[in-house]
Amino acid sequence: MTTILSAKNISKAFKGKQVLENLDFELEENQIVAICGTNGSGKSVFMRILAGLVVPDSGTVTVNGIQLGGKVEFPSSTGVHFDNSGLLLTETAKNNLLLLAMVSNTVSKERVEEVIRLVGLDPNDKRLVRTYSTGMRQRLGIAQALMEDPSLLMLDEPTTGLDFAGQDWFHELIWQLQKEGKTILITSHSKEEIASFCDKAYEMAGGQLAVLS
Amino acid sequence: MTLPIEPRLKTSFGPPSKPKPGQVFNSEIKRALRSRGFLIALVMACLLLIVGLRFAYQLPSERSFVEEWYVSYTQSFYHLMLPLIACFPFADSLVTDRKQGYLERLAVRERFGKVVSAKFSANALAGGLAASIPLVLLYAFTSLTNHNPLNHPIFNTIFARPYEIAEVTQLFHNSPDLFILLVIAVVFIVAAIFASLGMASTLLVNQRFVAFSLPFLLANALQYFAADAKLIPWYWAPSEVLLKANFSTNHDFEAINEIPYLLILPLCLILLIGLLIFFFGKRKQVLENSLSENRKPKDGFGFSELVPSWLQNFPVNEKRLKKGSVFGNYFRNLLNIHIQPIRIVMIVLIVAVLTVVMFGWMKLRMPMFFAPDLVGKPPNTWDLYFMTIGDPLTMALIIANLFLFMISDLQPQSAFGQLAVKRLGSRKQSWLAHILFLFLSSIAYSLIVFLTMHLTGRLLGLPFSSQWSVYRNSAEHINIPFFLTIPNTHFQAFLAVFGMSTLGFFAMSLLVLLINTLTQRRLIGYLMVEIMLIASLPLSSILLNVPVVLQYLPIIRNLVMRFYPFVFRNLDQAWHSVYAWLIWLAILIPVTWLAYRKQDYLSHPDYD
Repeated sequence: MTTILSAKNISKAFKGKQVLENLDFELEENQIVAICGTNGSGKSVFMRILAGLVVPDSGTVTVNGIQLGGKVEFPSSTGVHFDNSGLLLTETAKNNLLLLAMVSNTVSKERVEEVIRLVGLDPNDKRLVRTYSTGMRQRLGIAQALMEDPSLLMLDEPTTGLDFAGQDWFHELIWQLQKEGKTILITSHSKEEIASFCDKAYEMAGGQLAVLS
Repeated sequence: MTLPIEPRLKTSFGPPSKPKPGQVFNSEIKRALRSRGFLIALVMACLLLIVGLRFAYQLPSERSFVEEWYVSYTQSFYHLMLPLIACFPFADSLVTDRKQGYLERLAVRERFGKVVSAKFSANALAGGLAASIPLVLLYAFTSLTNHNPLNHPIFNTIFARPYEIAEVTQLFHNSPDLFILLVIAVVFIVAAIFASLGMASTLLVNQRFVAFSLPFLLANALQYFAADAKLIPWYWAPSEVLLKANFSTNHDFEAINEIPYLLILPLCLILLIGLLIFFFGKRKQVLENSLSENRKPKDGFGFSELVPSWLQNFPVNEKRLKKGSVFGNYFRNLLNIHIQPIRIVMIVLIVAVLTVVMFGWMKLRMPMFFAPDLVGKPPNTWDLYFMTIGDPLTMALIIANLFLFMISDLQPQSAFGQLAVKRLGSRKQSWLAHILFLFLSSIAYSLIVFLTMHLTGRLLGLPFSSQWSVYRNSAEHINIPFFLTIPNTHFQAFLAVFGMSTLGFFAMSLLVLLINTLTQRRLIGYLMVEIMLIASLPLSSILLNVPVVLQYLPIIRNLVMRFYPFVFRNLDQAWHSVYAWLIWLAILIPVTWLAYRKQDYLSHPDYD
């Protein structure tokens, strides 16, 4: 299998506290891989480093054969969704995605509407995102990550706030995306959840990743 | 797969234990006095007093300790900054405790009324202490270092002493220690009231910045209307209540029976606090408004919910999809998100109200120019513009303040902004877009201020003329040096003032951007630059007999052409401020890039 993402020797400290220490990680194509860990263990920071949003103190990240830093600061063909949904609360769901689509410059209006429907929301809903439940915001956050049809998806705690039906829907969606050839990296608090649908799982503790059997 | 439970851990707990009497208050006061805000307030107050002390040291050497203390206090801008000093320690704790769910946890253990009263008492005490401790330190310092005899006649006629007639003067002369303690006690009480007002206002609007800004803006507005514009009676000025006599409102205490008037403002503020607590402080309202970070924000109550959506956003143009450059679209997005219609409406409204007030002040100060038998050109809209924008207090507290507040949400990036940067693919381009945004915003803001002032002037009946009026020739409160007032030079004068203020707004906004980027906090940059701006008022008076380079260090000197004690500015000096801003920009532009280049885009909430 081809390695789509690799992180080598990653270290990161905040205000003297070492969050990640000499961490190595590889992600192979068309796999669903999960990272679990307690609050504050560094899962989200690691995901942000992989997405280019946080600069590591040391180490390198390579996505699709291109090393981040220097000329390429953010990995292309990557969809990300973080713990905060990343939405403008005073806009509608569709406008949120349209505004982001304008920046990426590769997405049509039809595609925007299609992904909103794909996550079970209504593109013609005139309500502002402020009025959405946490679960609806999570769905919309996942929609924005899918919008550009990326080959690699990084989803940080995507099932937080989703009810049981929502979680089932999410698992179905992930499997469907895998069938389409996408690679998915997610984080979660729940070992039970990731055990049920992931190809491989890691646990983050003490700034290190350990493979979960 | 289940997580094992450590056997030594206690897994069953009884009902929450009831705190001992006074325990909630004790814990709240400990939190308040150990808070970072308390420390910041103390440092800020001490810095202000140091500025005041520099003034005192310029007095004749015969000054006694009480004159030194009193001048340091009155010339330190303490009366303007007191609400901020009082609110910094703990006034926002009700909001933060509600948002973090801490208040709920307290409320299940103790009667809600007791929790609220403990919170308000701790806040009032912390606010009072933050404002009065520096004055006590100043008292200790002046009395230890100055052993001159009291009541030297040289000070009989200058501002180093309070009232010349009222009974308080006797206290100053005969029992100076008692006089100082009286002033400190008054400051303590007024600060406690402002701190309580800050906290009470967050019962109505669940936002941290309201706790700091409402008392500050209210106090300064009252000061302005009572002391400068004189549109309301003198006793509404906080400076009078704080016993900052002389030069505050031009009102002299003529008799002891005027002292009860000083109670009007504090009593009204206490009444306002009481009403806010009565109407919005009920258990159900407060706890229902609790907003844990993980809950849906629709439970919260913010300004944005009161504003219709068409005023909050410009329409999104779907036709722009897959068109133009990525940078152009990112920049357009930035404009779309940060320049909201409601912001433009607010700027126009605030500037229009300010212009009306300044017009009232203009008529009150110079009624002869509005007399029907006036010989020469009557005052016109240019006069109103130059006078309003040329007033250092107006510039520092309202015009520049408003702009800095409006742009303060650019950094750190919201979660949405981070997704947009990732799509843009370049930190450098994001930085460039932000710099360009601030530059264009500075120009646009200066233009809006200019147009609003002229238009308001026209609506108030002033003519729009291309010639200088008689007001120009005799008024000292106009922001134009004489060399620019040769006939028909309004436009050149406008360009000079406009260029100076626009460059200043741009440089100050870069400083806000830099501080916010480094601290990853939204309001810190705005507050720090605004404090710098206000502190530059006394600082500019201190840096009088120093090299020219140092004279132009205080920000306000480079925003306002001339003001007391800098009533003259020659043609060659006109460029000094422009040079000063260019130096600021030459430093700030590369430094902001360095901050952006290594910036970590960390988790931030979805802002309204």
